[in-house]
Amino acid sequence: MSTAIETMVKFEVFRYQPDWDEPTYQVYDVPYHEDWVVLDALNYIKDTIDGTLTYRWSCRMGVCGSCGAMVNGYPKLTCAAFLSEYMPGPIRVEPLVNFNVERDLVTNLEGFMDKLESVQPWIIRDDGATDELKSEYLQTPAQHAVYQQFSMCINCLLCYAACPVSSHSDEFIGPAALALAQRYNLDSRDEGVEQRRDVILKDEGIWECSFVGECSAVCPKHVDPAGAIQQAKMTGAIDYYRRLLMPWTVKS
Amino acid sequence: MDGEVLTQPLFRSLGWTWWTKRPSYLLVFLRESSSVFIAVQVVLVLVLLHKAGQPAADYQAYLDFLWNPGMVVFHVVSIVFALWHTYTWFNLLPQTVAIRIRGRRIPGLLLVAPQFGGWAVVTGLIIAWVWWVGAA
Ligand code: SF4
Ligand code: FES
Repeated sequence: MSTAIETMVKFEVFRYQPDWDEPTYQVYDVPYHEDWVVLDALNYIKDTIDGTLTYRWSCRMGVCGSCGAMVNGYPKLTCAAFLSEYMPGPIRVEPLVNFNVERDLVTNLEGFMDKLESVQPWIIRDDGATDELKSEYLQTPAQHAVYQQFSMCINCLLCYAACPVSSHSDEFIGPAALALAQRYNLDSRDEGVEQRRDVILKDEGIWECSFVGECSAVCPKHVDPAGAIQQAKMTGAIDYYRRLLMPWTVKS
Repeated sequence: MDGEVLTQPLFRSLGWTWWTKRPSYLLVFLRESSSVFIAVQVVLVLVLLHKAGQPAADYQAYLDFLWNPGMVVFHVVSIVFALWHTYTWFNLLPQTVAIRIRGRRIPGLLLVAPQFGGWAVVTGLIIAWVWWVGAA
């Protein structure tokens, strides 16, 4: 029989419900396990202490992108944030900032979905074969490598929670959606650059970004959205001067 | 509930003091604020050029103003900001420019090092020139 006393960690979890005026922080004591992540602790709380705690998760392996939350003030995938990094605690868990909170740790993603759709993140063909691929579109490994990094996004939205521009502008299309726009613009099979142009180049597009770079620092998939946006700015600037100085080279 | 939306939006943002919340934010904030100091320095130099065409006493008075202790502190702070801005921007180039050779992105150092090298050369040339003009 083991007489060892279990180490406990204090969790301060953000609680909010739509009919409340103010959010509160609820404190839970959770047993410490070296191999536990914050999501394990949330599941422990829900299963054994308080079934009303609400949060999103699915894969538990950094793939689905649904478990993002602020852990001690930093945007993290809770399934990838080990308790050992935060010992001796307390560990404060809050919903991702820069989004409306629905309930507890659950945020409303509608605004992001609209932004994502606005950049048309799918392959667009001049031959109109967007919905229905009409033939095989081959691609070499080198052509694939050009956009591969930007295609790793899991829409976890940690980058929006790290972005001060998103904090102050509802309209800013934001890191993940702009990185995806760049991903499709760089895809050799895509012919939709012109169709994405207005959305990407409008004020709320790439030019609103002031290159804080924190989106790339927090991205669990090393997408480097800040890099994607700066590269799009570079392309945009070159394109602007080309249209101005050599209009005959621009396809109408 | 007839499709009624119960959510009372609670928006939590980083707020206007976002730059105090993380060291990385603060460093970016300092990088961006450097433009204020650089803009003021540009104005000071433009006025200096203008004064150079004025009577000698006016010119001297302006030089004296530039040398007063408060202004000297301002110049020192400005140069620190300018150096910080330059250093950070040079280091950001690899994120901005993706050059590929045989399908592979070239290492960032190959983009960063020439900028620092060029900067050193130009600075050396300017110092040598000022030295030479001063000695002549
Ligand atoms: S870019 Fe990175 S941080 Fe942003 S949503 Fe995609 S995976 Fe998440
Ligand atoms: S639960 Fe799927 S990414 Fe964390």
